Amino acid sequence: MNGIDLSTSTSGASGASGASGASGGDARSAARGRGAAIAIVAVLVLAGLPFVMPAYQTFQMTGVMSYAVAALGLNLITGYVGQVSLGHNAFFAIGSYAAALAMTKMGLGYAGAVLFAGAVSFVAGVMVGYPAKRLRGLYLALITLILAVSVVPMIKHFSSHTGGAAGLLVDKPAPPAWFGLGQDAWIYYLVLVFTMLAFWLIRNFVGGSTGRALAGIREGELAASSMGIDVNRLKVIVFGVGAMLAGLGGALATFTVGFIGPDSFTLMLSIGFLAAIVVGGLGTIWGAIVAGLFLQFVPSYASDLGQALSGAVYGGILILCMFLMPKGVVGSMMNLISRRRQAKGGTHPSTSKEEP
Amino acid sequence: MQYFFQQVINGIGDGAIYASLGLALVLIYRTTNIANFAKGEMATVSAYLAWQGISAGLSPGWAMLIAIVLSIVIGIVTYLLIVRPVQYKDELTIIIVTLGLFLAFNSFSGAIWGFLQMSVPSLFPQANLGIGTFRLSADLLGTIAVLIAISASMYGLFQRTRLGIALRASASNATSAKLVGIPFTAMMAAGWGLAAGLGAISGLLVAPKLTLDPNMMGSIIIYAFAAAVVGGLTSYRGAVVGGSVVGISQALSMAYLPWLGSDLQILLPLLLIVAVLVAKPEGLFGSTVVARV
Repeated sequence: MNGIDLSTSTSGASGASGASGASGGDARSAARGRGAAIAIVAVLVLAGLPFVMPAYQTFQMTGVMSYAVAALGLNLITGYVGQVSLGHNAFFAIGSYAAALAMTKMGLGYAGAVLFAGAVSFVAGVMVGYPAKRLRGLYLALITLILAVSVVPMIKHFSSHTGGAAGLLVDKPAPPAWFGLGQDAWIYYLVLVFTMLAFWLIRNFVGGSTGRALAGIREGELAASSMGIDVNRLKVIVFGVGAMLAGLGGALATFTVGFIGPDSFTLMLSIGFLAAIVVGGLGTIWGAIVAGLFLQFVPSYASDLGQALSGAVYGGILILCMFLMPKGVVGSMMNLISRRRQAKGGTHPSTSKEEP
Repeated sequence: MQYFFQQVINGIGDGAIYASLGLALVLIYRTTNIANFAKGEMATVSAYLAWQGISAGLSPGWAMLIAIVLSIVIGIVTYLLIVRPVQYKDELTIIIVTLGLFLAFNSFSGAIWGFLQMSVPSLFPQANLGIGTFRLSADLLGTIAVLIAISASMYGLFQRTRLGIALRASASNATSAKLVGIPFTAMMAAGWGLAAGLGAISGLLVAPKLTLDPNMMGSIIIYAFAAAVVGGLTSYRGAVVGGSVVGISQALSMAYLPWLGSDLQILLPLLLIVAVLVAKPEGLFGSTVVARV
């Protein structure tokens, strides 16, 4: 797809020709129906998991969801708009500490603290995104690299609030009396609600005309701006929304684990986020779920191989993925599906491309 | 006042190291249009190679020379095996691949040489030169001399030799370079090799000052990037100026801003760079790129 190809959109298909426009519409509503069915099944499965899984696995799945929310934020910035950010650890940390402080110092409840964390990291994201909007590619990567390495010194410097190197203990939300599945399952459901909310919001954000504008920016900034897209404004908004999701993810992770410390927010976390969305699939919503699984499980399996080799595993995955599967797990699967469908059903209108 | 100038001089000493690694970054960026995030870790491997040579009984000078040569080979091999297949992909792909290299090199030096801190001897004597009331250590003078030698030989290479001109031609227009018979791939590999050699020199300058461990270059590479970015990643002069600015501002903030605390002092030079980039996104010495629709 090139930069000016903004018309391969859901509504633009009817312009192609009458017949294909009509069949495109059928395929589209069929695809939408199938998508809704898949979503409902997925939600039911997710809601049922704590009944069948042991507590520790429920806890791990909660971690997957928190990471997935944050990864979705980076995928928005990097996958959809093509801006490389290495500073995602900073927003994850801001969300974590904002949630912890909102709860301990401001007396907000669990949901309030999570929303507060999202708001704070949105503001932080806009504050970084505003001056960074003129920078692209490598320069943005370097600026955000500086942001990434500033996180740990900042946490240590403001140790009277953040607990410094020793970290902070945070109360996990306690289940009400009627809830019979235990604390891990309760937190799982709370995080599930926020996760679904975040994914639903972003799906709508990238699904409509905004999504096509974002693709326009990614494929050719100058072309997009000459087509009337306010590139700078959108970039700042996307940076803010991406940071907000990172902050939400950080807040959710904080309440899942019950502890935060500077060691969880190093540059390695940012590289991990980047690796995870690349493996999951850049510019796909569901790639963020794969990313969440990746972030929850790969580092711990890799560190089982020993301190020295965990980096090699990570680095090897990154390089191999770029060589063999540049579209990630979800992107490759979608390619496979659409190729098979094409082989089966002759011509295949551009509109039946799955909405990401 | 004397204290102030002493701090500036010390800052230039550190800045020379950032500048030497910054030059390597600029060299790679100019020849292959790639920002190599793994540069620092490759320099760490070079320092380990020198350490290995010294502990095998070689004299430090020979060990370092062999380490530099081996590093050049590693640079060439890395380019041919890992970088070349993705060289013309989008920026994101390249950044991710060099980040992968960063992790891989870091982890290999840990796997081979372990995580214990080791010491590497300095080539420069432990002497001080007193000029008036200033004290200039041999180490400082040596570091600056090395930087000047590097800069001069790079200038000579790119302005005066056929190899340098072929390198510049390949970087500026791949198709035309191939058409006039320049071995393009060999030139790209040579660029990576040369940059790896430069990186090795900066690794060997750093190792005696800090202790050698797999994460030795972690903060240095960030300062080196900051230095190189001042020049828009394309200007050798910019990298040297940037390195000095970073080194001097770091020394001065340590000396005069103790209330910031050690955590924030290390960030101050970086904030300076952010300010430069926000004010002039193409860097102080970079040229504005005119884009076509």
